[in-house]
Parts: sequence; C-alpha cells; structure tokens
Amino acid sequence: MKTKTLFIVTNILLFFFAGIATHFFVMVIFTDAINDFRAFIDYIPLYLTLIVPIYALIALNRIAKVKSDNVKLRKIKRSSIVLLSISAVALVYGLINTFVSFGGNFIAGGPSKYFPLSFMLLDAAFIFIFIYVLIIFRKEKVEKEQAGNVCFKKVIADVLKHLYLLFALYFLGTFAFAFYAFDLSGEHVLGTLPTYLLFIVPSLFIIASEIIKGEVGEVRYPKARFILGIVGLIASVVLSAWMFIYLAIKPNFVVDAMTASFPLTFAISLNVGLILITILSIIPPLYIVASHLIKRIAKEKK
Amino acid sequence: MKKIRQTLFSLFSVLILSSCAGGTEVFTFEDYKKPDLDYVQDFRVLQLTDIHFGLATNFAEEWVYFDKVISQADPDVIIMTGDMFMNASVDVVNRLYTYIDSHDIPWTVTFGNHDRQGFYTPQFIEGQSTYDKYDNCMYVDPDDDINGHGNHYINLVSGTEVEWQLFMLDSGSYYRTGATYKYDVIHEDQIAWYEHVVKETNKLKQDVDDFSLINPADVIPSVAFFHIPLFEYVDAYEAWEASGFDENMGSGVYNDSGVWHGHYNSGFFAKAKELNSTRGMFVGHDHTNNFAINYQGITLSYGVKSGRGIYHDPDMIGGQVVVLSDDGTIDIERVFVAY
Repeated sequence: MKTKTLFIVTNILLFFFAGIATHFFVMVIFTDAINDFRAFIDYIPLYLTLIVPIYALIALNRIAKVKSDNVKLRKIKRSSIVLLSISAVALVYGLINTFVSFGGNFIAGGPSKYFPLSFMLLDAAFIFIFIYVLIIFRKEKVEKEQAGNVCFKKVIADVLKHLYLLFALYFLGTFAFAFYAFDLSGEHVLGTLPTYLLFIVPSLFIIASEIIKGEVGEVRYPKARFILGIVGLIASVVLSAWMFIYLAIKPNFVVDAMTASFPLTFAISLNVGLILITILSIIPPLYIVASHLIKRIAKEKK
Repeated sequence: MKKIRQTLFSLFSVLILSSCAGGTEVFTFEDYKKPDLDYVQDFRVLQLTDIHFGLATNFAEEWVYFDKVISQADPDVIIMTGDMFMNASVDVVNRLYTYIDSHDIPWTVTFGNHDRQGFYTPQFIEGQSTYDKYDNCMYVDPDDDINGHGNHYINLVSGTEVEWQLFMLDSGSYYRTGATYKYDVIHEDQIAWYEHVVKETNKLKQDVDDFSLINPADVIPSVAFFHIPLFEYVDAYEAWEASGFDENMGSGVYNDSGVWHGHYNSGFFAKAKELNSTRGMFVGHDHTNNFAINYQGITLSYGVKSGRGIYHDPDMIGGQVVVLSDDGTIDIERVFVAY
C-alpha cells in the first residue's frame, strides 16, 4: 500500500475511533458531572484511555503537515512516547483502582458491560501499538532541529481549528452511537435521516479538506478548496432546511425518535442541539466560499 | 352469566379500543394487566422514584443502599415511577431490573422524561420483550396506539373479588414549544383508557351494565402512579398553605424550585374525581419535593427520591410506602435511608 493511501485509510479509521471516544468521553463525564463528580477519581483511567485516539488523530495530522523528514520522525517518536505513557498510566491506575474501588471486580459495569476490563484491554492494545511504532522507528537517527518562531495569530487559528475538530468528532460519535439508539418504529425517518447526515457533515468536511490538501498541488489548492466549500455549503443548507421543515411539520420528532442523541438539549430544555449542528455544518464551508469570493473581488479590483 | 357478561364486555372493549389499536390488532381492557395479585390486609406498595442510574453508577454501592431501602419498606409490590435511568446503557438497565427482580417481589415501572435518553432504542426501554425476561415483572405494553408506553394496571384480589387497582400511566417526556421543551402530560386517550378500565372492572364486579348504577361508595378503590405531576399539585399546595399547613390535610416538604408539571391540564384529576375510584396519585420528577396533600378527596403525593442520582437532599432519599387498607383508605410511610 502506498504511504499516501495508508495515511488516508489510517486517518479515516482514527477519525472514526476518535469520534466514538469523544462522544463517549462527553457522555460519561456529563453523567458524572450531574452526579457531583462522585465517580471522577475512579474514572480517570477511562478518561485517559479515551483521550488516546483523540490525541493520536491530532498528532497524526500534525505530523503529516511537517515537511522535514527529520522533524516528522522526531514528532512520531515523541507522540508515541506520550501516548504510550498515557496508556500505561491508564492501565496501571485502572488495575489498582479495580481492587480499591470495585472490590477486585473486573466486570463491575457502568460505562460498559465489562468495565473496567474492557478499557484495560484497550490500554494494553494501545501500549502494544505504540511500542510497535517505536520499534519500527528505533533505528532512524534523529537530528536536532531549531524551533521556529511562534505566531500568535496561528496559535489562535490552531486552537479554533481543534475546538471545531472536537465538536465534529463529538457529533461523529453521536452518529456512530445512533446505531444503538435508532428509533426502530421508523415513524420519523424523514426527520431523523437529514439530522443523522448532518452529524457527519463537519467530520466529512475536515477529512475531505485534509485529503485535498495532500492530493492537489499548491496552485490548484485554492480552487479545489473553493469547490469543496460550495459542495459542503449546498449539502449543509439542504440537509438543515430539510430537517427544520420536518421539525415544523412534526414539532416533537426529536423527543419521539432522537432523545438519546441530544442529552445536553434535554438537560437544559432548550433546542440547542439542532441549532449547534446546523451552525457547525454551515459556517466552515460558508467561510471558505466567502473568503474565496472576497479575495477574488479584491484581486479583480486591483 | 358472568362468563357471558365478560364476553360482552370484551366485545365492547374491542369497539372502544379499536381506535387505539395498532395495525389490525385490537386490545381488551384485560390485555393491559398481568395475572392478578393477592390482596393482603394493609398491602404495602413501595414507590421508588428518580433513581437515575447511568454510565457513572457504582452498582456494588447502590445494591447495598437499595437493600436497606427495600428491607426497611418490606413491600408487597415495588413500583418505580420513572427516571430510573439517564444516559444509561442496555447493561445498566438489565442490571437494575435483574437486581429488583432478585427480591422475588412483584414489580413494575412507569417512565419518566429521562428514561429514553440512553444507548438503546426506544423500543428496548419500552418494549414488552425487555420486561418479559423477569419472573416478577408486572409491566405490560400491548404496543397499541394510545399515547405513551406501558399504560397498564394491576388488580389486587381476594379470591375473585377485585379489592384495589394500581394504575401505571406514562406521563411522557417532553413537548417542544418553540425553542424550548416543556414537560408532557397524561393525554386524553390515556384518560379515556383509564376511565374504560375503571368502569369495566367495576361493572364486572357489581354485575351491572351501567357504571352509573354503582353506588360511588362501592367503586373499587385505586391508586395511580406516574412521573410528571399534575397542575392540581400546585392548587393542592396552595390550599394546604392557606390552611396553615394543617397536619390532617398534608405532610412532607416543598423544597424544589417548583412543581414542574406538564404543559397543559389534560383533565386526569377531574376524571379521577368524577369516577370516585382513585384515592391517591404518586409521582416523582421534582427530587426535593415529597409532600402529600389530600386535595378534594384525592391524595396528591410525590414519592421520596430514591438514591443519590443527580440533584437530591441527602437527608431526604429512600422510598415511599403506600399502604392500602381494606376500608379503601391509604396511608403513607416515608422511608428515609442515607448512604
């Protein structure tokens, strides 16, 4: 398999796992939060385990952007060591905690049927993967490289991008878990279908952006990005309009068929879930299209 | 004669409920109950409410706690009035139901506004097959077209005579109004179902064709369990307040931020008054309210919040026992158990 293809496949798989991890992380910590964080100490290993795929996804995409092989290698080794350490801490903590808090019961339940055993097995798998990565790259010589200047504007943009990524991952996880919570009566399928599709739009948009960035050259990139923006915008607007039209016809469809997908909405009794997913889907492509057009107009004026 | 009458009643029920039936299947009022339970003097119904088990529940600790509540309450039947779960999974649901069932005491549930929020389909939490796995479960959901799921009842009998009826109604979850969600209500078709069951059971017992021929004092007493309080809970509290908190009229506390009733008054209380059957209504929902007030002949009562799931007062958790006497009166015992 070509390195590029391998990267795309790994990225998509990691995106999916990170989405599940993000959603599950939010659900568990939200459940714990409304219970006065009573289980927080016991669930630290679980949170650490769930952070691993999210961190790995971010690290992979950061590494892919680095042009120097030397720096790339260094980042791979550093990220692997960090992820290995997180997994090891989670495993050891989890093991001790099983005896301290769950009376040695490895299938005490709660977050999953076989909790905490299931998460320990995940930790073990992660440890194996990152040791393997370190072994592969152990012979590569890493030379020191000087760090560049940090631009404040870039840092802000980076933070916003990662924030958007986390929201996108959360809703991708909502989509994945919807297979557990799908309303089998099919009564509101015309309303749930566009909503479920909207859940994956932000993630698809990010994945497509990354692929385009890697596939097309610098010259063709602005045009390809603009086309992606147009496609993303049309898809988001059509799906959002479809969803809201259905909502106008059947005002209670979310209550009847999708309560499980919007825990925060029903915690505060405000219809924020549908609005948030609409904003997350529309704003990025709209920004791309608008900024492209503004630049073109400015260029034409010159 | 009784058999012929029962057949006629069944046919009548078919006509009445045919509008509520899903698909081609039709249901009689007797399809909404499991086999009757034997009534014993001072029958003890333990109401557990708002347990709120979820992904962050430590079951080992919870079983120790609920063992204490159940042993202190010493119930003949256990009814969980909604919000058993919030952000739960199939495994969490199975664990609670298996635990409750292990006490060998008949039990059932009504749903709250949070029970459908979890990693499972609505059909899993509401469907009959989930509950049929348990030997002592009295839950019935005939999958009809009546609003809600698990609108059902239990007859308490001495021999063949019905002494008491326990009604379980699904008061729904939410109702969207603009950008906000309000709480749902017991809908008109559920009230019609309740009326139908009360009338048919009484007609059968008294061997008459017309419910109005039955002396109101002879109507079978009943109690109703659901999750979301009625509008009348506010009226009852105001009346109790106006009485100077008369001890003969009510007991308990109003410590929550409100009485969080449904979005309109669908008339369940008025219908209960008219039928003269229901002696008390028992809800959950507002965790730090536990008052019980006799209002216009019907006791409007909150339960005692069970367990420490989400907001609660640690000194006011446990369960509530509703004692059903053979003279048709009810008594309330609050069982407070700390962790």
